[in-house]
Amino acid sequence: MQIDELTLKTASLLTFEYRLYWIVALSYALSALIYLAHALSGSKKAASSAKGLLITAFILHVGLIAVRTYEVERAPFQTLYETLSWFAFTAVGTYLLVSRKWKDVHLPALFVTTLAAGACGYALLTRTPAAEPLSPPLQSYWFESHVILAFFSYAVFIVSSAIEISAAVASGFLKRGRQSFRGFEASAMHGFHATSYNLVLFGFPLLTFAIFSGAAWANEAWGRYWSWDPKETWSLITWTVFTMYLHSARVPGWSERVAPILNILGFVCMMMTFLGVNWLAKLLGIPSMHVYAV
Amino acid sequence: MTAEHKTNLAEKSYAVLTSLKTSVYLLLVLCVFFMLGTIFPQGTEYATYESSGGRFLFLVKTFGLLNIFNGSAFLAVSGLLLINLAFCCYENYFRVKGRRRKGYASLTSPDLVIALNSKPDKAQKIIERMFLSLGFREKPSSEKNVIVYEKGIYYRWLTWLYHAAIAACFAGFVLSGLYVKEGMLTLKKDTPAKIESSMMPETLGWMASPEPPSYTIVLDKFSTEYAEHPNLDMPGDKIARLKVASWQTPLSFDLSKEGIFPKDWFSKLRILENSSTATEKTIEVNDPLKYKGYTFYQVGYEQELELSVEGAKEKITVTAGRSVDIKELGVKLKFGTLRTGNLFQKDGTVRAIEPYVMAKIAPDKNAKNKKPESRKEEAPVKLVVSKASVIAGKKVTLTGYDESSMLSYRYDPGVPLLWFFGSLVFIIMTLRCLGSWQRARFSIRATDTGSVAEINVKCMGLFRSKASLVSNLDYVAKTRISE
Repeated sequence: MQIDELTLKTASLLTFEYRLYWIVALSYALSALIYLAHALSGSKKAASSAKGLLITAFILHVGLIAVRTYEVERAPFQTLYETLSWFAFTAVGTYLLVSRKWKDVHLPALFVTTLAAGACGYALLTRTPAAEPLSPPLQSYWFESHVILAFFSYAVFIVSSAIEISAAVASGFLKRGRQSFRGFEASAMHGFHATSYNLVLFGFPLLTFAIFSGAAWANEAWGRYWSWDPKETWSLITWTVFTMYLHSARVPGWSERVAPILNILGFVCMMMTFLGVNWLAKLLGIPSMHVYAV
Repeated sequence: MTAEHKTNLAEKSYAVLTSLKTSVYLLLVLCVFFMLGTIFPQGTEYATYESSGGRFLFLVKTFGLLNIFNGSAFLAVSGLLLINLAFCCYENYFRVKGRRRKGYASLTSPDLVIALNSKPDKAQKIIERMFLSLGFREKPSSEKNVIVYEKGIYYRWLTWLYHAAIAACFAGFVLSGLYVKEGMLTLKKDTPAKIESSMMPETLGWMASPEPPSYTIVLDKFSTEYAEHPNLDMPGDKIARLKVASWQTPLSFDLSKEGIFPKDWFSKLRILENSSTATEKTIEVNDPLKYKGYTFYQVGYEQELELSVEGAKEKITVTAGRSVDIKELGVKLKFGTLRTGNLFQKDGTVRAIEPYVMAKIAPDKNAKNKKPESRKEEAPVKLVVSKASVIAGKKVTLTGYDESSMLSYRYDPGVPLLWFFGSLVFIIMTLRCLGSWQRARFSIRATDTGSVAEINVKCMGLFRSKASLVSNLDYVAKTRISE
């Protein structure tokens, strides 16, 4: 087959995938808007419609990931275009899994869907869908396990902080004398903090492995297991903040005051590790060895 | 100070050093150091930082913010954290070891009551059989008439173990800091090279001797591989992208641009000791050569290009990937990477690339007052080996090239220790967080109709809840117990 024919075939597949990505992003955005309507009005119908749409979008996203994998013939998380999709996918998937046991609690979904729609929108409007071959440093058996586990840890941290943020909002209303707010009941607040804690407990070993495997990989590729590169350092900051969270949740008097703040701070640090550090390195002119992830 | 005061002070210090709050505060301070390390470019010379317009000069100079992670403040806080960790491990060792001495909560409010028709002695055996069939094992009990069964590894031991392994990881960091040797080596083909003591690095550990290894290293072959990778013509502006998304225009490839991607590069290395080959290996990124404690990594390559203008005998030597003023042409040329080696094509075939380099006239940045043409970007010209191309109206020929392989080398005795204890941390932490531990305590009480077993349970682990354990035991008792 000639190069013209091959590129035409690839271009058609890329166009299809790009459009499917848009449909997924718009579905997440619409779902976020309906969840917002539920948050403002308390309408249960709105919440169930939003959840239905979110499940549909997630199923489409499974298809999108499959198409991308077929197209690039490797794990689809090398470029930022791909990792943003994977980031949204794992966050929504984890949320759907965790929220199975909740009946009328939908506030965390507003946070998760907004983040997923934002990540997809950012990828679609600013990054290229071109399928990049793996550069030599990325051709390692660490690639899949390192990235998959890092993003799964991100996903559980997102859902955990979504619960804490929602609990903080709900607490504001409960303090004004209400018995419950959008499914959050005064008597059950401890349970939400416990779920949030358990999620971090689940994600923490994954993040630990991601950092450890990253160091082992760097040792093989660059000859140094730790270089204080901005991305490495921010991943260590995220790990340290979640360590503080897990410890403070066991300190009497801190578990429901200090710990939730550290949980949300951990989420902010995680976002810095994933996206903010590229921006920071560019802004301050600090060289980063992780430029391939941009 | 009286003896009582001294004791109080020692007790208070011990309480502070073993406190969770102390750990959290120390971690917070470390976070601040980490953040500063990502704001100020680490390892940069102060003069360079100042000349490139760096800010907060006074603070940077006073607190050594360009070398934070080797600074005394950072090392002191890290040391305090290690002490805190060591004291917590010491304290918790005795707490965990002596757990049964303190006894348990009473069995007055059992989680599960199982009524049996048998007498207490037989009933006890039945309940014990039930626990054994579920994988529990008997543990010694300090309470009278209370029997204890456990399943899984006691979670406090796991917590203790991974904290101790983290503390042991510090030993690896310390070894690295004391004895590391690292540097860079550029190898030309068939030219033996040695790590000289003068090449031993700025990054020599505090206690490492600058004694270089006795062997030499030879580059037998250097090669690169490329993959065909056409450029996607992706619109940059958002409206054009929306047009693609809304079925108005499809995506396409721009085949006019150079569309190849460096797939990999390899160096065939040979280590010579006493003039004979000790070992040889073809290395690539992610696959280094290890020999007598040293590891040699493929980090990149350098290419020297040889050019001739208008067939002149005198050759011009330039480095690929750089911009160079060519006097003979009267312009500055920007060279790309020399492409040579095998090209893996989209249709699955492989062909050898005829060596070439792309060169273009760099725009004249100082031509503000000149005509706009002089500031315009020129289209790149392809310079193929031994074939003349026209640049700035003159014939330019790429007459030859020379490739060197760039290696980094490292000797780090801390790495094996770090990998061992780092793996332990991960495995034990995973067992602690995701694994389950269950404990059941029961006593048998005689009743009019036989006896009852009063059971208390406790669980740890994300995937095991107290309610599910109680319901499981209840189910087993109802379905599997035969008296």
